[in-house]
Amino acid sequence: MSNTQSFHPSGVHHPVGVGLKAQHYQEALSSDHPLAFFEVHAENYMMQGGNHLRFLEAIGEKFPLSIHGVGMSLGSEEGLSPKHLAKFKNVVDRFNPWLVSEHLAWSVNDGRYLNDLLPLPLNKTTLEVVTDNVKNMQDTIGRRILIENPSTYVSFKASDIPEPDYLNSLAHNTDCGILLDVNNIYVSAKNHDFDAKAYVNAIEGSLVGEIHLAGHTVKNIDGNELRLDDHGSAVVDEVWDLYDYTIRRFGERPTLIEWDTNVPEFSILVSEAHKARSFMKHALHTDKVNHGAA
Amino acid sequence: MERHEFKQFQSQMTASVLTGTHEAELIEALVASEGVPSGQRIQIHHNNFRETLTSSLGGIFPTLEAFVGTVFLRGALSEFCLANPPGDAALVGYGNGFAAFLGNHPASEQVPYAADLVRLEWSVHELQLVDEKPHKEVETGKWQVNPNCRIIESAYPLLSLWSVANGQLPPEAVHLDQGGQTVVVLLANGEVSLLALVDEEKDYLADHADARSTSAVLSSLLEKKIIVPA
Repeated sequence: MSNTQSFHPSGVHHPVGVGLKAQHYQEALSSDHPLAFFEVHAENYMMQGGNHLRFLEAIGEKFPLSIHGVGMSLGSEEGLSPKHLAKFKNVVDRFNPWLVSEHLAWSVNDGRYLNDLLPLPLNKTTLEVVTDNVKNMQDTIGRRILIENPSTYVSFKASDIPEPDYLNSLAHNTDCGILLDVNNIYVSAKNHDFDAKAYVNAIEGSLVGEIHLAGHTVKNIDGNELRLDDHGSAVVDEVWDLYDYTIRRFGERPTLIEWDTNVPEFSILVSEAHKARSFMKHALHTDKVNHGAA
Repeated sequence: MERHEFKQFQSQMTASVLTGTHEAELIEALVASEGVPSGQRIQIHHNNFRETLTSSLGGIFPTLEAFVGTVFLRGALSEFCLANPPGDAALVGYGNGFAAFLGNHPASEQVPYAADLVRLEWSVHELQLVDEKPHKEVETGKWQVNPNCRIIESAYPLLSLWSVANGQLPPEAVHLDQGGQTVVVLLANGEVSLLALVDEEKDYLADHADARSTSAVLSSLLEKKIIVPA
């Protein structure tokens, strides 16, 4: 499990990918791009049929896929929805993805889906809940999953476990991996005034199976700044710097560009992915990588 | 934090997300930060809930948007989402109730065909997300409505309105008082198409869809694949 090469597609070095959007299906299929993989939200492919499924099947025959869930609600005290688990398993079984991931968050309560990645207090009680839910998900779909660190805007008095320690513990409890979203670290660090590099340092690198990069927006509220994780723009320089720091520390990892709102032309996404690949190559050729520092 | 306290927290947070109002106990549970106050930070999740669902549904109804404008559509969808939160994270079926919601909305009195347009666009959306259901190809002497059809009866010239919004008819070619149209949305060979029924076809479907018949109307419906062998 600690062999990071197991996260890579066979024969692929410096693997970079992008989030797949319907308007880019044809270009994704063309192979005239340097992308090593595509990631989709599982929930967008839970329909009964139609062209979206056919396009994804065609793309999945040519490229490794990453299935990224946004609605499993691993932080729900009430447990997971068997109905949603079954739908998720169907997607995984149908597309046989290379990676499967979800979030350290919750979004379902009492039969209502809240369509957001909601934060939870980080403590022993919630760690037990999330642990049970991750085990349930992995057992049901028959796959190891990666858990993504969230962007947060609030923190809780009831939290007494630092987020990196929480993720490390969750991974050890369940044998899941970590999807490290570098933009999310940066956004949360700015919103809560902590050191983003210290966060990266506290993550056990051997657990990290994928990295996400995305743009965010800066909102001014009555003269005060808050960063919002909206995936609607290019990755900012400060996040590239933190990405550079992360891969110098952990080594090469599959890296994905997310862009979910104000989606640009495919070439822009490819350009961002190319930039990530350049960072990865440069970092690995100019620095001794501290694999799996913990 | 005990398990029941975590459960209570999630109930309070759910109410906050759904309503945009926050119980004092929830705010008290947050760490007060420098800068943006806790109440405005937690409000982001209500905004995300409303805006992301509204945007997601907005893309399904471009024809309605062409008639009523983006502001009206997004306002109506926002109200719908707050009144009808989804029960499932797979949102492909979410929005099914928007036509009924809009039909009862006071603002739609000025756009009386709006709910029918929503039914039409929802049917197109729905059929794009399914595979064609198999049906008999060999004549059996009995007929059924094609399971890959949706039929929308309207008191307004629905297909003509759709054609205006999509640039296929000039606006001056359509008048609301010209009479209603019954529109068939048909999935065939992976493509979704729209066609209007003439009155005889509509009457046949209403009265005789499963009967034995060899009328000219029947032939027309068979040719259009609106009915198929049963």
